[in-house]
Amino acid sequence: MTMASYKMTNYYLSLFSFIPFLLCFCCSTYQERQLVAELYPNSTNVEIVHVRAVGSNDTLHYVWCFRSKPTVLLALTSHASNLSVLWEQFPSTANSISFEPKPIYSFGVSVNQLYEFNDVNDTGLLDMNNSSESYIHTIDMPDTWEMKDIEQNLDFVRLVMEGSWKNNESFVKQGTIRIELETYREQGHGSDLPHLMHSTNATQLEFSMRNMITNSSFKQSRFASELILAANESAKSSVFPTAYKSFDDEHTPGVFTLVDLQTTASREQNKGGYMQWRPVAYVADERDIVNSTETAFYDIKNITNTSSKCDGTLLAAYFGDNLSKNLLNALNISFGAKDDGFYAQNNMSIWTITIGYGHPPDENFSLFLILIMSFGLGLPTVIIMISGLYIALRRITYRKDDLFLSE
Amino acid sequence: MDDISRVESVNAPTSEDDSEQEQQGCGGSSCCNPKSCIYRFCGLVLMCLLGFGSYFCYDNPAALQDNFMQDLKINTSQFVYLYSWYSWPSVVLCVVGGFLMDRVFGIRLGTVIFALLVVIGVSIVALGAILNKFWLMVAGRFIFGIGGESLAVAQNTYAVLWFKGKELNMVFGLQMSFARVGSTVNFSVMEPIYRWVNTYYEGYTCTGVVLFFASITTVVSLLSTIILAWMDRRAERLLKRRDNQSGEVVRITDIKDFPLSFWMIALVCVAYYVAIFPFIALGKVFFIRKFNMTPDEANTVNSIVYTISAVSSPLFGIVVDKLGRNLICCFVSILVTIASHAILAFTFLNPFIGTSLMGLGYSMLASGLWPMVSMVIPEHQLGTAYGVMQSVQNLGLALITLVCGIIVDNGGYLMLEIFFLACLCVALVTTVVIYLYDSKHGGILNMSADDREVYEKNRISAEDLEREKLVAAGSMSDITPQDLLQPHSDFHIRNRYLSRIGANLPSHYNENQKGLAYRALR
Repeated sequence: MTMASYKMTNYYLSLFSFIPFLLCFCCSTYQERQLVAELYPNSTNVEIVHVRAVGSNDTLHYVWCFRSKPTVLLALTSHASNLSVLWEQFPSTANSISFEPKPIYSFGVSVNQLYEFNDVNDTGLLDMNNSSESYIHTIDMPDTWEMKDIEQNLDFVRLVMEGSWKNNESFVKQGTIRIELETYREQGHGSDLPHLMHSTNATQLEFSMRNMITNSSFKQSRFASELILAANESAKSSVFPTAYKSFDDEHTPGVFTLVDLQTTASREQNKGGYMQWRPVAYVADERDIVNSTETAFYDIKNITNTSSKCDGTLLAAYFGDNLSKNLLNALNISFGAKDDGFYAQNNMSIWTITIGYGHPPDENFSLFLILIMSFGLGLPTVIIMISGLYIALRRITYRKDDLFLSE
Repeated sequence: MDDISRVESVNAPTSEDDSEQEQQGCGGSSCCNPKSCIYRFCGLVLMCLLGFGSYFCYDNPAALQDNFMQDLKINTSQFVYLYSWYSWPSVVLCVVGGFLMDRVFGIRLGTVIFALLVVIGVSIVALGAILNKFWLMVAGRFIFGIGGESLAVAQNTYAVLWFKGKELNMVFGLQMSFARVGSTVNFSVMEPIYRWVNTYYEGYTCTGVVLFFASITTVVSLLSTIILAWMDRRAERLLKRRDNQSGEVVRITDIKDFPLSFWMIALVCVAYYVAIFPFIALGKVFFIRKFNMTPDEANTVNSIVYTISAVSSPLFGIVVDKLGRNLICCFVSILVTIASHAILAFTFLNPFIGTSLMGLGYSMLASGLWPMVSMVIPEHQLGTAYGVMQSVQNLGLALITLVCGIIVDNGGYLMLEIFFLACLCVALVTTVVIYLYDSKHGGILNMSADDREVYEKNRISAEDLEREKLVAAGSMSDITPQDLLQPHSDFHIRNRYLSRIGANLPSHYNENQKGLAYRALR
């Protein structure tokens, strides 16, 4: 098993670096998008939420779909473009969901399946080469999704769905998957930890596994999930994960790494899909450092058998025959770290990502932090310098006094 | 009056006939001579041992945390009571302990009583475990806390009495490293002992038996306090230490009259230590997440601060003994610690570098800072002063540790490091202020070792001069309180004359220096 390439970028602080940061804050101009959400099929029994985020030059559509596997689709279109869904055929038939006129760019991410693995050596990592039954089980996504909350106002649109396994024959005896989706009018940080930064071109997805009990007899079980990424880029392009490291953990206390996953188009021209997350999972609703563990991601896989993985999902319905000709990758994320007491310790894993279009936002020092730094460290430095001067001056005058008296 | 308090230290210059007398009896042989190195070395070993037991037992619960929680069926928050019931009461009780030692028991009896309290406390904890009564264990920790913290105060006071002016800094360093050794040995030994006992007993009985084993160390400490008390008494008798001739007695209200420099030293102490202990407490996750370490590596990096300080603090003590200049030493050690925190906060350099530097700074500060108290506080108040300092430190640490938890959860480790750096800056600025204040008032704190010896000699001779004058003036009954309050030596009259006519006094004629020189007769 190989971990994905772990490129580290270190930021070394110098006194002078404050100034560009300050300028950065003063000059940052960001776009706003007006949000309009539509609920399908109706407002009581929501399966799909379609959010139009209208910007100054273009419109970004988010389609959050919970009919079959949970999927987020982003489509960048002109203002005129509209979503049309053929309800009878959706999602089993290709092109049963589409935009008219055709989008400029589309990018979709679906949570495809879950894994439970028996981490006997307490490594916190998933061994992708070991497929024995005593090590790993594949768990299908919940068969029933229920809407828990929907909220829409000028600033954000938020949807909370909860999935469970109602089918008695399912592998999961108990437990729910809760998915919270949110998109915003303005750039900013999420309200809950890990306070991910979001642009105006992104949906934040919070994924939590609660009270999972399965039929496996694993003593030291951990969970992992498989995401499928599709975009209307050529099959030659791919997605590239990069882990950045900074000494600043102000927004996500105790987490110093930020992972960007970009498609080729996003990397080369800032005109493609990306995902961004912190490698941290919280293990309780009361989120803090104590209640946190790590996540790990693994090598990007190409999907060879398109039909078995994607049939009946929004991705297949939307991309149709192009699905296998376009960019189509799978990514595994595992939750947990060595010595955290396994999933059973808290029976909860909460993990958050943003899925967006363009270039993933870069974190900077907040104005507050810069102020604290300059007052907390600058002021004492000044005081010490002044007192140093004073001591030096006084030494000179003291010597004079002594000379005077010795006469 | 014998035990109440003393004015002079063991190694203070004594007159010739004193040393003649001590040659009689067994005092002739070098190991029994209280002035010999060997005698004082034995005293030093006992002084180190007297703290060993309490430091060993303090961390027993942490070393056996999993076993404790399983055997006694307690959760983490209950487990924390074992520590909070030790530390919170000691915030106040250190002062009380130090004061009682100065005023009521005297250092010898006081130390024995505190050591006895430790033995009782630790035994009650063990008994509580055997009976599976958690409240009894907590009560035991409470008693242990009263004894243990006051014992640390007594340890400091003993060190000053025996070693002031010569090896004091080294002794402070050595005591600290011994304390560290105590807690390190605890962490490495308790687990095997538990496993061994577990073959005979099970569950909470096993924990109790293990704790009884651990309490043996406190009995050793108790024995060493008794021997030390005997040695100290003997040294006092043979050396005819001038004990409490002036009849000075410390009052609790004396605390408000402690010099400003004492309070500033206490502030440095708090501001510095809050950047060390809470950091170590919260450091593990920081090392794991920021530097991609395994939990084991993180523990090693974390403990390197203590490991290094255990080795280096006696060495730094020797250096400070030779050089003097305690304030410069404090200043440099705070700077080193600032550098170490900055490395940890703003770079990805191997954290071993940062924590090793921190260990060096920490041990340097400890051997330079604590002896300064004995230079600004007269000896009959030392117990109280060290008690106050310990209390202030405990209070500061307890509060700031809570604050640190809040900072980390809301602002992250970078913010926490900036907070630590700001605290260290406060310590640094305070050190500079102490320097300025002190150099206006005689400059004892930052004298070189040689100057300090001269200063000390002058102080003693000025004191003797004053005493002679008083005796020459007639019988002691002639002396009015007014005379005692305002002694009129030639030195004093000359000074007053010079200042009346507006002449600048040379720096060594400093008014405050005079105050210190006459304090013993106030």
